[in-house]
Formats: sequence, C-alpha cells, structure tokens
Amino acid sequence: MLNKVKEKRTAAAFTQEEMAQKIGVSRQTIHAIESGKYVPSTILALKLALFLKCNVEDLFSLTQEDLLPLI
Amino acid sequence: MKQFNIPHRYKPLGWFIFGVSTVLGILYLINTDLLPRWEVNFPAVLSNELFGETTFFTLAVTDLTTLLTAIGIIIGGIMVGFSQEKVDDEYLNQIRLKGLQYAFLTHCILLIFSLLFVREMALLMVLMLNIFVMVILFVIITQVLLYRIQKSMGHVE
Repeated sequence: MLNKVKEKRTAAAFTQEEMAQKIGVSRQTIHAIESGKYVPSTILALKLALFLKCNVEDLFSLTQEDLLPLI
Repeated sequence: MKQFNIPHRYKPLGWFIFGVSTVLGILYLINTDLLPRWEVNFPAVLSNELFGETTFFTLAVTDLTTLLTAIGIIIGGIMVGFSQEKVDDEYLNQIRLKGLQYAFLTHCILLIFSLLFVREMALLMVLMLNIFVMVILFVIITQVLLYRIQKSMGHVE
C-alpha cells in the first residue's frame, strides 16, 4: 500500500499534531500512517480524505504486489 | 470495531496494584516466610488435599496473602495493559492486540518447553508461575511497543 498522506498534509500546511487533533486520533497514528507502518481503517481513511479535501484514492493506492492476486 | 478498553484514569491505580503485587509475588518466590500468612477458611468449588479425597463446594484453608497477591497481579496487569492512553484510537488498540499476541505465543512456547523438559514437582511450580507470565509479558510488551512508537516519532512535523 502506497500513501501520500504526508505530501497532502504538508501541502495543506498542517502539522501532524493539528491533523491528529482535528480528526480525533493520536499523533502516533498519523506518524505511523505516513511512515507506512499502519494501514488505517476505512472510517479513518475517509476522515483523512475529508480533512485533506481529497478522495481516499488520492491518499492511498495499491502496489503491484497488492494487485497480483487480482491479475 | 468495539474493543475492550479501560478509561485512562485507571492506569495509575493499575500500575500501583500491579507493582505492589508483583513485588510481593517475587518476595514470596524468594522465601515463603517473607510474607505474613493470613489463613482463613475460604469457599472452594473443588478441593483436593494431598493424598486426600476430592470434595466439591466446601471450605478450604487458604492463605489470603498469596491469593490477593495473585489476583492483584492479574487485575493490575489487565488495568495497565487495557487502559487507554490520553488520546486513544484504533492504532493504539492494534498495538495492544499485538502485545497480547506476542505474550500469548511466548506463554505457549514456555508451556511446551516446561511440559517437555521440566519434571515432577518442579513442573507444577513452573506451570503455576506460567499462569502469570502471560499477564506480565502482556504489560511489558505493550508498554515497550508504546514507548518505541513514542520514541521513533522524533520531532514535531
């Protein structure tokens, strides 16, 4: 899973702390998502997209490896 | 997904109960005479004295000091391990589940090792101690994982 949360967040000029507070999660969670250590639930992904004013697909995308079973 | 969690305010109390009980438990292991005995007749669903008969629903002489110490380790451990952080969410829940998973696996490995290589009365002792291993490991592993996440975050971005 690839994600562009950090790119979108920095483009929107928010800190991890600010985004975490607005969404209602811990800063650890934002850090873990951005560094690819944690894949968020659907509800959290939707909240992130809503906060960053974009679609979930703009934030998260599948890698070639993830797509292998579908090909 | 709804998960079993305890409010953050119970964490200090959990640490207190867990800490005191663990210290008492270690003292008991070093020397059983280090702790005062507090023997009472306590209800037992099942009781089996050494070379005696098995009885159901009876009163058995029980040392309350060791009983409360054991229960303290378990309840304190649950309070620490399952209490929420100040800001808690699904990721921290996942960390707790990871801690529980590692603790369970370690517990099973120790159990298999004990069954294979420990014999006679020593096996009984090791199996009794193994009851607490899972709770203690759960607390330690979860706290270490949470600490490592906190540390790896570094500066505010």
